[in-house]
Amino acid sequence: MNSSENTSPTAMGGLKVMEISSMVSAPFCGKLMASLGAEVIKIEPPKTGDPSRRRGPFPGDVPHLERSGMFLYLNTGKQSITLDLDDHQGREILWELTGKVDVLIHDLPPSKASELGIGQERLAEARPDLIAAAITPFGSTGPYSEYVANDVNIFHAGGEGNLLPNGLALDVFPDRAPLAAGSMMGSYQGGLSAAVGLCGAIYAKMGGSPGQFIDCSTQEAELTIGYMPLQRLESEGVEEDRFTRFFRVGGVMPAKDGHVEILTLEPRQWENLGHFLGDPDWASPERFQDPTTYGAEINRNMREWTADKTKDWLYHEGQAAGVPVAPFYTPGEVFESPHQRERGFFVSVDHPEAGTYDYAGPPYRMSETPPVLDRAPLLGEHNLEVLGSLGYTTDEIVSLARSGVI
Amino acid sequence: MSDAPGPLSGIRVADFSTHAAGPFAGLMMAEMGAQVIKIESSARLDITRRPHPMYGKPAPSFEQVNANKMSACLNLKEPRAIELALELAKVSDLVLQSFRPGVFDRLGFGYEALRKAKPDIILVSLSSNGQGGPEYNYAGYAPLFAAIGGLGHLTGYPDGPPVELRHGMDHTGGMLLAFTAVAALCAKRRTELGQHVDVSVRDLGSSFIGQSLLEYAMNGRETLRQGNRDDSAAPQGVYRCQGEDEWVSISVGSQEEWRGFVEAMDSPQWAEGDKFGDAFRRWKHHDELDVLIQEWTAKHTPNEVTEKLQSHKVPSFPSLSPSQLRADLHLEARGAFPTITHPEKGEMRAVVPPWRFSETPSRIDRWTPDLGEHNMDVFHGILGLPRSEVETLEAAQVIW
Repeated sequence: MNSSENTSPTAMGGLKVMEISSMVSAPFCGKLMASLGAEVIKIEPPKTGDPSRRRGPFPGDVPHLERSGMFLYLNTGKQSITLDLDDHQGREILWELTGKVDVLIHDLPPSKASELGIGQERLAEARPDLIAAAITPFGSTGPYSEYVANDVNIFHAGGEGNLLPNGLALDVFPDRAPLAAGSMMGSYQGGLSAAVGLCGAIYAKMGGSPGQFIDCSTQEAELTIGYMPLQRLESEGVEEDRFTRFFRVGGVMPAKDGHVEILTLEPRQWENLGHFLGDPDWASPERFQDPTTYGAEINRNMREWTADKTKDWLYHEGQAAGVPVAPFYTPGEVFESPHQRERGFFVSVDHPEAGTYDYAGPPYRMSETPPVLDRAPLLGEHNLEVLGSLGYTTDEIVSLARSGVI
Repeated sequence: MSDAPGPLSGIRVADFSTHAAGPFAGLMMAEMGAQVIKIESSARLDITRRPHPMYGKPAPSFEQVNANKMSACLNLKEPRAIELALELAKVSDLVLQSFRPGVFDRLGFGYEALRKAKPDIILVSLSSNGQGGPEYNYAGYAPLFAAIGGLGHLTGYPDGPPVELRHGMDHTGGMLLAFTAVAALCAKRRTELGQHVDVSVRDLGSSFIGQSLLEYAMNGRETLRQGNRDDSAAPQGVYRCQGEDEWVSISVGSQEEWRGFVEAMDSPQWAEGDKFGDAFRRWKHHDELDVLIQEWTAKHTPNEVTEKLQSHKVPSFPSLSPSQLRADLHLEARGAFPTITHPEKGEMRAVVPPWRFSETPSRIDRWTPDLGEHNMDVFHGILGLPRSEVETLEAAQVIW
């Protein structure tokens, strides 16, 4: 892992990125760019900042703009400036900044982007070198381009939500509403997907392509990862739903202290699973080969068998026996996981207002250009520095602050 | 759409990955214009070439993940095939692999061997648990790494079991792999360095729950799954609508959105009083509120609810089934299902790449190749082997 103190080269060192964003999708995209060593300047509304600053979790449950876990995590390695984008002077400064950066990431619908003076057409005309990515719920064109959506709406708009849950949860609650994945997965995924396109455009520009606009729809990002049911519909005419989409053998199994997932896809793994279960009649190789007939019975017996064993016993003993099994870890168990600890996944991050905590680190390693993880910024921490670099004098910056522009 | 080349045109990728996650990364790069050669073998068919253990049927429904690619066969049990794999790496910019950690090295083309063949090669390795650590060689599929990464625990109804996440998790892993691969290409353009990238999909699951990990670090408190709800929006949920298995998602985060929501419902009396007057009370009486909301949504279709709420700037959208997605007017207007030609089935629709580049368009335009369809193009055309030698190696089950 890189940190601000060492000097390994980074993948995107020297690249300047400006981010106008809130909550999860676009901030996660910016966080990934910062992890590659890019200089990311986040623009936040004066006084209140990104709404994720009010989301928590907060140490000791005491709300504080500089201590919100969601903000601290999603904005590592960035700079922060405050700018009132409803103000004429604020928009002026925004426009000046677009001339100083290589990349703009924002999450504004097309009408708002145009209103702020950073619409696609104006940028193409006056900032031909800039790469601008708009990460919006439904994309920047089409009848829903101005629709508002939160994570739950997006996950269900992209198709995956309608197909969850399957297996045990559906057995228990067959009448309940379809389900979004937890922890705003769809929003995270939207930011990750946009980051891939952004890196593509950056690569192309290094090779001589012009700057460009990238329209990233989070709905389409969900559609992309959920293409399988669409492909089945297209090629076989089979429509999947949450009732028919389940693993007839395995899936979520109860354990003494929670649940595990068992998934055997290869004949060899079925045999291993039979041995692991102690070769009972109900788990014979013949029965595994006919899950349609025997799946429900195998699962009933298997759930009984797993229910009095611990997650970690099932995990380690099962894996040793060649059975793909994994525990459903709680966040606390992930936090304490010996494997991830030994791999150095968690990184201690010191923050002047929030204190020092172990954060989830970047989910990838690069041998020659290791990722970077530095703390999130204080609200407006870099106002002086960034506005100074635009040529504003200290007096002017003080006046901008007093008039509420920054 | 412009005919301009994609952002990765000129890049060649040797894709040794199998199953869903790795090949999905290859697909993302192929959609951005890279030449992606899928290296596979009759000796051990990729799961997408075999009848699926769950769905029964072979390939068709799984094909998109290898679209836009070339297919070349190499039976990696043969020493000559390993030599050819190294030759191919020499003329490639990037190698993708998703073997169990250690296997690639044992086969004779781990990172060190590849680097000897081509000093600035980029090797991108995908695995459940990463290339090292005590559990590095544990087996994993998408629902397993979603579970152990922590995302699975946070998915589900609060009073029920956790929920397995499947292909979506695989493909999200592939998306991360693509991110690191293109980042490594950028790094190479800047620094001229190749490198080894190690992606653990378990870590990806954990990186999606960063705020819950901080909750534990800060307060020692475990976050619980909460169905379709959220800490900061009330009401929020998925509500039953008119019709069979028809649902709409609604999320009311602010007081302004609440007022819009009440207006959109034509201001029913129950919504006007103090009981649901502020966010805290709505959160506290959420179950009761849900019953009342559902009485309203049940009289309308998901589209009607969505139109009413969106006109009041309240986040809302139908929970779309596969056929509803395919018929969705917005997605149609955006060309989200481009038609490509399948050699046997004729025209079929695919899912569009998730980025619209104004200058370097991405595209999906060639269906999954047959197994070994490009053997001659790759071994004769790219590596320069005489045609007769390619045929001999095919007969000897090396190119196989």
